[in-house]
Amino acid sequence: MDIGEELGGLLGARAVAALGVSPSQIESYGKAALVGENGELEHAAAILHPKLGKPLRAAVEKGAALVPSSKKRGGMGTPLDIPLGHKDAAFVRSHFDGVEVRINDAPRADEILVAVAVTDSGRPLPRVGGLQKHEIKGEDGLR
Amino acid sequence: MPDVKLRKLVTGIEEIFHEGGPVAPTPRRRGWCLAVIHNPFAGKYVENIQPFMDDLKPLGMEMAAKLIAALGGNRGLIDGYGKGIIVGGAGELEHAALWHAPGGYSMREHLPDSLAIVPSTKKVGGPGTRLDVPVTHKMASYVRSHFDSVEVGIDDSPRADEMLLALAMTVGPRIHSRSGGLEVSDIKLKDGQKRQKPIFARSWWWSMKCILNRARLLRRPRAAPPPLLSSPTPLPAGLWLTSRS
Repeated sequence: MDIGEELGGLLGARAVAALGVSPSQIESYGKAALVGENGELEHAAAILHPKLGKPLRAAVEKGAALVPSSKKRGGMGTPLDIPLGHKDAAFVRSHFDGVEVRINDAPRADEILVAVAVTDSGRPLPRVGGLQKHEIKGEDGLR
Repeated sequence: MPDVKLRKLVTGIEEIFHEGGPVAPTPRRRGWCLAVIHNPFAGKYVENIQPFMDDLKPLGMEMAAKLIAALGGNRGLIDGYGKGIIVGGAGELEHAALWHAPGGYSMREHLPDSLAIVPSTKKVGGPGTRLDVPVTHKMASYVRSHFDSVEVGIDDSPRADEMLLALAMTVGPRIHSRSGGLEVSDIKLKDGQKRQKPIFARSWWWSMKCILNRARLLRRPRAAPPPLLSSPTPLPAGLWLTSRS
Protein backbone atom coordinates (compact mmCIF):
# COMPACT_ATOMS: atom_id res chain seq x y z
CA MET A 1 0.00 0.00 0.00
CA ASP A 2 2.87 2.39 0.77
CA ILE A 3 4.45 1.79 -2.62
CA GLY A 4 1.13 2.94 -4.08
CA GLU A 5 1.53 6.25 -2.28
CA GLU A 6 5.05 6.71 -3.62
CA LEU A 7 4.03 5.75 -7.14
CA GLY A 8 1.05 8.11 -7.12
CA GLY A 9 3.35 11.09 -6.59
CA LEU A 10 6.16 9.88 -8.85
CA LEU A 11 4.06 8.77 -11.80
CA GLY A 12 1.68 11.73 -11.46
CA ALA A 13 4.49 14.29 -11.50
CA ARG A 14 6.27 12.52 -14.36
CA ALA A 15 3.12 12.28 -16.45
CA VAL A 16 2.42 16.00 -16.02
CA ALA A 17 6.05 16.82 -16.87
CA ALA A 18 5.91 14.61 -19.95
CA LEU A 19 2.91 16.57 -21.25
CA GLY A 20 4.87 19.79 -20.76
CA VAL A 21 1.98 21.57 -19.04
CA SER A 22 1.44 22.99 -15.55
CA PRO A 23 -0.46 20.85 -13.02
CA SER A 24 -3.48 23.17 -13.15
CA GLN A 25 -3.84 22.53 -16.89
CA ILE A 26 -4.49 18.82 -16.34
CA GLU A 27 -8.13 18.05 -17.06
CA SER A 28 -8.56 14.30 -16.70
CA TYR A 29 -6.81 11.33 -15.17
CA GLY A 30 -6.88 7.57 -14.68
CA LYS A 31 -4.88 4.71 -13.20
CA ALA A 32 -4.42 1.00 -13.82
CA ALA A 33 -2.30 -1.98 -12.87
CA LEU A 34 -1.34 -5.21 -14.59
CA VAL A 35 -0.21 -8.08 -12.36
CA GLY A 36 2.18 -10.72 -13.71
CA GLU A 37 1.14 -14.36 -13.81
CA ASN A 38 2.49 -15.28 -10.36
CA GLY A 39 0.55 -12.51 -8.60
CA GLU A 40 -3.10 -12.00 -7.79
CA LEU A 41 -5.54 -9.26 -8.67
CA GLU A 42 -5.69 -8.22 -5.04
CA HIS A 43 -2.06 -7.09 -5.26
CA ALA A 44 -3.09 -4.56 -7.91
CA ALA A 45 -5.91 -3.36 -5.68
CA ALA A 46 -3.49 -2.85 -2.77
CA ILE A 47 -1.34 -0.54 -4.86
CA LEU A 48 -4.11 1.35 -6.67
CA HIS A 49 -6.81 2.02 -4.15
CA PRO A 50 -5.80 2.85 -0.59
CA LYS A 51 -3.06 5.47 -1.04
CA LEU A 52 -2.24 6.20 -4.68
CA GLY A 53 -4.96 8.83 -5.19
CA LYS A 54 -3.91 11.51 -2.72
CA PRO A 55 -0.39 12.24 -4.07
CA LEU A 56 -1.74 11.91 -7.62
CA ARG A 57 -4.33 14.59 -6.89
CA ALA A 58 -1.59 16.79 -5.44
CA ALA A 59 0.39 16.35 -8.66
CA VAL A 60 -2.53 17.57 -10.80
CA GLU A 61 -3.89 20.20 -8.36
CA LYS A 62 -7.33 19.57 -6.95
CA GLY A 63 -8.89 16.40 -8.33
CA ALA A 64 -12.25 16.24 -6.62
CA ALA A 65 -13.49 13.35 -8.73
CA LEU A 66 -12.87 9.64 -8.38
CA VAL A 67 -9.76 8.46 -10.23
CA PRO A 68 -11.14 5.88 -12.67
CA SER A 69 -9.18 2.64 -12.64
CA SER A 70 -8.79 -0.77 -14.21
CA LYS A 71 -6.78 -3.85 -13.35
CA LYS A 72 -6.05 -7.27 -14.70
CA ARG A 73 -3.55 -10.10 -14.73
CA GLY A 74 -1.52 -10.82 -17.80
CA GLY A 75 1.79 -11.70 -19.36
CA MET A 76 4.46 -9.54 -20.93
CA GLY A 77 3.16 -7.24 -23.64
CA THR A 78 -0.47 -7.43 -22.53
CA PRO A 79 -2.25 -4.18 -23.46
CA LEU A 80 -3.83 -2.32 -20.54
CA ASP A 81 -6.62 0.21 -21.10
CA ILE A 82 -6.52 3.04 -18.56
CA PRO A 83 -9.96 4.66 -18.19
CA LEU A 84 -10.00 8.46 -18.11
CA GLY A 85 -12.44 10.82 -16.41
CA HIS A 86 -12.50 14.54 -15.64
CA LYS A 87 -10.48 15.23 -12.50
CA ASP A 88 -13.01 17.53 -10.84
CA ALA A 89 -16.38 16.26 -12.04
CA ALA A 90 -16.91 12.62 -12.96
CA PHE A 91 -19.99 13.38 -15.10
CA VAL A 92 -18.24 15.52 -17.72
CA ARG A 93 -19.07 13.53 -20.85
CA SER A 94 -16.44 15.05 -23.16
CA HIS A 95 -13.66 13.67 -20.94
CA PHE A 96 -14.71 10.01 -20.83
CA ASP A 97 -11.84 8.39 -22.69
CA GLY A 98 -9.16 5.72 -22.41
CA VAL A 99 -5.45 5.36 -23.03
CA GLU A 100 -3.99 2.05 -24.13
CA VAL A 101 -0.56 1.28 -22.69
CA ARG A 102 1.69 -1.68 -23.21
CA ILE A 103 5.31 -2.62 -22.53
CA ASN A 104 6.68 -5.51 -24.55
CA ASP A 105 8.86 -6.94 -21.73
CA ALA A 106 6.59 -6.28 -18.75
CA PRO A 107 5.19 -7.48 -16.46
CA ARG A 108 7.33 -10.55 -15.95
CA ALA A 109 5.74 -13.29 -13.85
CA ASP A 110 6.77 -11.71 -10.54
CA GLU A 111 6.24 -8.06 -11.51
CA ILE A 112 3.42 -5.50 -11.47
CA LEU A 113 3.00 -2.80 -14.12
CA VAL A 114 1.48 0.34 -12.57
CA ALA A 115 0.19 3.07 -14.87
CA VAL A 116 -1.06 6.63 -14.41
CA ALA A 117 -2.50 8.66 -17.28
CA VAL A 118 -3.28 12.38 -17.43
CA THR A 119 -4.58 14.63 -20.21
CA ASP A 120 -4.82 18.35 -20.85
CA SER A 121 -8.11 18.04 -22.75
CA GLY A 122 -11.11 15.89 -23.54
CA ARG A 123 -11.79 14.00 -26.76
CA PRO A 124 -10.84 16.01 -29.88
CA LEU A 125 -14.31 16.81 -31.24
CA PRO A 126 -16.81 16.04 -28.45
CA ARG A 127 -20.44 16.22 -29.59
CA VAL A 128 -22.51 13.79 -27.56
CA GLY A 129 -23.82 16.34 -25.07
CA GLY A 130 -24.03 15.76 -21.32
CA LEU A 131 -22.37 17.87 -18.64
CA GLN A 132 -20.00 20.38 -20.20
CA LYS A 133 -16.61 21.44 -18.87
CA HIS A 134 -17.75 25.03 -18.25
CA GLU A 135 -20.71 23.84 -16.16
CA ILE A 136 -18.55 22.14 -13.52
CA LYS A 137 -19.06 23.10 -9.89
CA GLY A 138 -16.26 20.81 -8.74
CA GLU A 139 -17.55 20.37 -5.20
CA ASP A 140 -18.84 16.83 -4.88
CA GLY A 141 -16.58 15.29 -7.51
CA LEU A 142 -19.56 14.39 -9.67
CA ARG A 143 -20.77 17.66 -11.25
CA MET B 1 3.75 17.58 -54.85
CA PRO B 2 1.56 16.05 -52.12
CA ASP B 3 1.49 17.74 -48.73
CA VAL B 4 2.42 15.86 -45.58
CA LYS B 5 -0.79 15.63 -43.57
CA LEU B 6 0.10 14.80 -40.00
CA ARG B 7 -2.54 13.23 -37.73
CA LYS B 8 -0.55 12.56 -34.59
CA LEU B 9 2.90 12.40 -33.03
CA VAL B 10 3.70 9.94 -30.25
CA THR B 11 6.92 10.23 -28.26
CA GLY B 12 7.97 7.63 -25.71
CA ILE B 13 10.89 7.22 -23.32
CA GLU B 14 11.94 4.08 -21.49
CA GLU B 15 14.31 4.21 -18.51
CA ILE B 16 15.74 0.82 -17.62
CA PHE B 17 17.20 0.46 -14.14
CA HIS B 18 18.04 -3.25 -14.22
CA GLU B 19 16.97 -6.50 -15.81
CA GLY B 20 17.58 -8.77 -12.87
CA GLY B 21 21.29 -7.92 -12.44
CA PRO B 22 23.04 -5.02 -10.69
CA VAL B 23 21.19 -1.70 -10.74
CA ALA B 24 23.01 0.67 -13.08
CA PRO B 25 24.13 4.03 -11.62
CA THR B 26 22.57 5.73 -14.65
CA PRO B 27 19.49 4.14 -16.14
CA ARG B 28 19.72 3.09 -19.75
CA ARG B 29 17.35 5.07 -21.94
CA ARG B 30 15.48 4.18 -25.09
CA GLY B 31 13.21 6.57 -26.90
CA TRP B 32 11.00 6.68 -29.94
CA CYS B 33 9.08 9.26 -31.91
CA LEU B 34 6.24 8.10 -34.12
CA ALA B 35 4.34 10.15 -36.69
CA VAL B 36 1.07 9.11 -38.30
CA ILE B 37 0.56 10.73 -41.68
CA HIS B 38 -1.78 10.36 -44.62
CA ASN B 39 -0.43 8.10 -47.38
CA PRO B 40 -0.92 10.15 -50.56
CA PHE B 41 -0.52 7.00 -52.72
CA ALA B 42 -3.06 4.85 -50.85
CA GLY B 43 -5.64 3.00 -52.92
CA LYS B 44 -3.92 3.40 -56.27
CA TYR B 45 -0.72 2.59 -58.11
CA VAL B 46 1.44 5.65 -58.58
CA GLU B 47 4.60 5.17 -60.64
CA ASN B 48 6.60 8.20 -59.55
CA ILE B 49 6.64 8.33 -55.78
CA GLN B 50 10.15 9.62 -55.11
CA PRO B 51 9.32 13.33 -54.73
CA PHE B 52 7.54 12.45 -51.48
CA MET B 53 10.96 11.74 -49.90
CA ASP B 54 11.77 15.44 -49.98
CA ASP B 55 8.36 16.27 -48.56
CA LEU B 56 9.11 14.03 -45.56
CA LYS B 57 12.40 15.72 -44.68
CA PRO B 58 11.00 18.55 -42.49
CA LEU B 59 8.87 16.05 -40.59
CA GLY B 60 11.89 13.78 -40.06
CA MET B 61 13.94 16.69 -38.72
CA GLU B 62 11.10 17.66 -36.41
CA MET B 63 10.73 14.10 -35.10
CA ALA B 64 14.48 13.76 -34.48
CA ALA B 65 14.58 17.09 -32.62
CA LYS B 66 11.60 16.10 -30.51
CA LEU B 67 13.15 12.74 -29.68
CA ILE B 68 16.54 14.21 -28.72
CA ALA B 69 14.81 16.76 -26.50
CA ALA B 70 12.77 14.01 -24.87
CA LEU B 71 15.96 12.03 -24.18
CA GLY B 72 17.39 14.99 -22.29
CA GLY B 73 18.74 17.12 -25.12
CA ASN B 74 22.38 15.97 -24.91
CA ARG B 75 23.21 14.83 -28.44
CA GLY B 76 26.61 13.43 -27.41
CA LEU B 77 25.06 10.89 -25.03
CA ILE B 78 22.79 9.43 -27.68
CA ASP B 79 24.75 6.58 -29.22
CA GLY B 80 22.27 4.19 -30.84
CA TYR B 81 19.60 4.63 -33.46
CA GLY B 82 17.16 2.94 -35.81
CA LYS B 83 14.13 3.66 -37.95
CA GLY B 84 11.06 1.91 -39.24
CA ILE B 85 7.68 2.32 -40.88
CA ILE B 86 4.30 0.61 -41.01
CA VAL B 87 2.19 1.29 -44.11
CA GLY B 88 -1.60 0.97 -43.81
CA GLY B 89 -3.54 -1.64 -45.76
CA ALA B 90 -4.34 0.56 -48.77
CA GLY B 91 -0.67 1.20 -49.40
CA GLU B 92 2.25 -0.91 -50.60
CA LEU B 93 5.59 -1.88 -49.09
CA GLU B 94 7.35 0.28 -51.67
CA HIS B 95 5.83 3.36 -50.04
CA ALA B 96 7.66 2.35 -46.86
CA ALA B 97 10.99 2.60 -48.64
CA LEU B 98 10.41 6.33 -49.05
CA TRP B 99 11.27 6.75 -45.36
CA HIS B 100 14.87 5.49 -45.71
CA ALA B 101 16.50 8.73 -46.78
CA PRO B 102 14.49 11.35 -44.84
CA GLY B 103 14.30 9.20 -41.70
CA GLY B 104 17.96 8.27 -41.55
CA TYR B 105 19.46 11.59 -42.52
CA SER B 106 17.24 13.53 -40.14
CA MET B 107 18.84 11.68 -37.21
CA ARG B 108 22.34 11.85 -38.68
CA GLU B 109 22.00 15.60 -39.27
CA HIS B 110 21.23 16.03 -35.60
CA LEU B 111 23.82 13.63 -34.15
CA PRO B 112 27.51 14.38 -34.44
CA ASP B 113 29.78 11.36 -35.15
CA SER B 114 26.92 9.38 -36.64
CA LEU B 115 28.79 7.44 -39.30
CA ALA B 116 26.99 4.11 -39.29
CA ILE B 117 24.07 3.18 -41.48
CA VAL B 118 20.75 3.61 -39.67
CA PRO B 119 19.23 0.11 -39.44
CA SER B 120 15.62 -0.14 -40.48
CA THR B 121 12.59 -2.34 -40.84
CA LYS B 122 9.23 -2.02 -42.56
CA LYS B 123 5.92 -3.76 -43.08
CA VAL B 124 2.32 -3.34 -44.14
CA GLY B 125 -0.17 -3.64 -41.29
CA GLY B 126 -3.38 -2.49 -39.64
CA PRO B 127 -4.06 -0.36 -36.55
CA GLY B 128 -2.22 -1.64 -33.49
CA THR B 129 0.42 -3.51 -35.50
CA ARG B 130 3.70 -3.69 -33.60
CA LEU B 131 7.05 -3.03 -35.22
CA ASP B 132 10.44 -4.03 -33.82
CA VAL B 133 12.75 -1.19 -34.79
CA PRO B 134 16.36 -2.43 -34.92
CA VAL B 135 18.99 -0.37 -33.11
CA THR B 136 22.75 -0.23 -33.69
CA HIS B 137 25.60 2.04 -32.57
CA LYS B 138 25.75 5.36 -34.42
CA MET B 139 29.50 5.24 -35.05
CA ALA B 140 30.06 1.60 -35.94
CA SER B 141 27.41 -0.90 -36.97
CA TYR B 142 29.29 -3.85 -35.47
CA VAL B 143 29.36 -2.66 -31.84
CA ARG B 144 27.82 -5.67 -30.09
CA SER B 145 26.84 -3.94 -26.84
CA HIS B 146 24.43 -1.68 -28.70
CA PHE B 147 22.60 -4.25 -30.85
CA ASP B 148 19.03 -3.87 -29.65
CA SER B 149 15.53 -3.15 -30.80
CA VAL B 150 12.66 -0.98 -29.69
CA GLU B 151 9.11 -2.24 -30.07
CA VAL B 152 6.70 0.46 -31.17
CA GLY B 153 3.09 0.71 -32.24
CA ILE B 154 -0.05 2.80 -31.78
CA ASP B 155 -3.43 1.24 -31.01
CA ASP B 156 -5.35 3.28 -33.63
CA SER B 157 -2.67 3.52 -36.32
CA PRO B 158 -1.99 3.18 -39.15
CA ARG B 159 -5.43 3.35 -40.70
CA ALA B 160 -5.67 1.96 -44.24
CA ASP B 161 -4.73 5.24 -45.91
CA GLU B 162 -2.00 6.19 -43.46
CA MET B 163 1.63 5.43 -42.71
CA LEU B 164 3.27 5.27 -39.29
CA LEU B 165 6.84 6.59 -39.37
CA ALA B 166 9.19 5.66 -36.54
CA LEU B 167 12.53 6.94 -35.28
CA ALA B 168 14.31 5.34 -32.32
CA MET B 169 17.36 6.44 -30.32
CA THR B 170 19.12 4.92 -27.32
CA VAL B 171 21.54 6.12 -24.65
CA GLY B 172 24.13 3.59 -23.55
CA PRO B 173 24.64 -0.13 -24.09
CA ARG B 174 22.19 -2.89 -23.08
CA ILE B 175 21.74 -2.66 -19.34
CA HIS B 176 23.72 -5.82 -18.51
CA SER B 177 25.86 -5.93 -21.68
CA ARG B 178 28.45 -8.71 -21.38
CA SER B 179 28.44 -10.62 -24.67
CA GLY B 180 31.80 -9.39 -25.90
CA GLY B 181 32.50 -8.51 -29.51
CA LEU B 182 33.44 -5.07 -30.76
CA GLU B 183 33.32 -2.56 -27.89
CA VAL B 184 32.81 1.19 -28.19
CA SER B 185 36.40 1.71 -27.05
CA ASP B 186 37.61 -0.39 -30.00
CA ILE B 187 36.05 1.78 -32.70
CA LYS B 188 39.00 2.93 -34.78
CA LEU B 189 38.25 2.82 -38.43
CA LYS B 190 35.61 5.57 -38.44
CA ASP B 191 34.00 4.18 -41.55
CA GLY B 192 30.75 3.46 -39.79
CA GLN B 193 31.25 -0.29 -39.58
CA LYS B 194 34.17 -1.87 -37.76
CA ARG B 195 37.39 -1.44 -35.88
CA GLN B 196 40.59 -1.46 -37.85
CA LYS B 197 42.15 -4.89 -38.18
CA PRO B 198 45.94 -5.00 -37.70
CA ILE B 199 47.46 -3.68 -40.90
CA PHE B 200 49.60 -6.78 -41.44
CA ALA B 201 46.50 -8.94 -41.42
CA ARG B 202 45.20 -7.30 -44.56
CA SER B 203 46.62 -6.36 -47.92
CA TRP B 204 48.58 -3.20 -48.62
CA TRP B 205 45.80 -2.14 -50.94
CA TRP B 206 43.22 -2.55 -48.19
CA SER B 207 45.15 -0.43 -45.68
CA MET B 208 45.58 2.35 -48.23
CA LYS B 209 41.87 2.26 -48.84
CA CYS B 210 41.23 2.64 -45.10
CA ILE B 211 43.56 5.62 -44.83
CA LEU B 212 41.98 7.32 -47.82
CA ASN B 213 38.53 6.58 -46.50
CA ARG B 214 39.33 8.12 -43.16
CA ALA B 215 40.81 11.20 -44.81
CA ARG B 216 37.71 11.56 -46.92
CA LEU B 217 35.44 11.35 -43.89
CA LEU B 218 37.48 13.92 -41.98
CA ARG B 219 37.30 16.34 -44.89
CA ARG B 220 33.57 15.88 -45.31
CA PRO B 221 31.86 19.20 -44.58
CA ARG B 222 29.55 18.77 -41.65
CA ALA B 223 27.14 21.57 -40.91
CA ALA B 224 26.39 22.42 -37.29
CA PRO B 225 23.39 20.40 -36.15
CA PRO B 226 20.10 22.28 -36.20
CA PRO B 227 18.79 23.69 -32.93
CA LEU B 228 16.53 21.58 -30.76
CA LEU B 229 13.00 22.69 -30.22
CA SER B 230 11.64 22.59 -26.72
CA SER B 231 8.74 20.28 -26.09
CA PRO B 232 5.86 20.60 -26.82
CA THR B 233 6.82 21.81 -30.26
CA PRO B 234 4.73 23.88 -32.65
CA LEU B 235 3.99 22.31 -36.00
CA PRO B 236 6.42 23.54 -38.65
CA ALA B 237 5.10 25.30 -41.70
CA GLY B 238 3.69 22.91 -44.24
CA LEU B 239 2.34 20.44 -41.70
CA TRP B 240 -1.26 20.46 -40.73
CA LEU B 241 -3.77 18.12 -39.28
CA THR B 242 -5.65 15.77 -41.53
CA SER B 243 -9.28 16.67 -41.67
CA ARG B 244 -11.38 13.55 -41.70
CA SER B 245 -14.98 13.37 -42.71
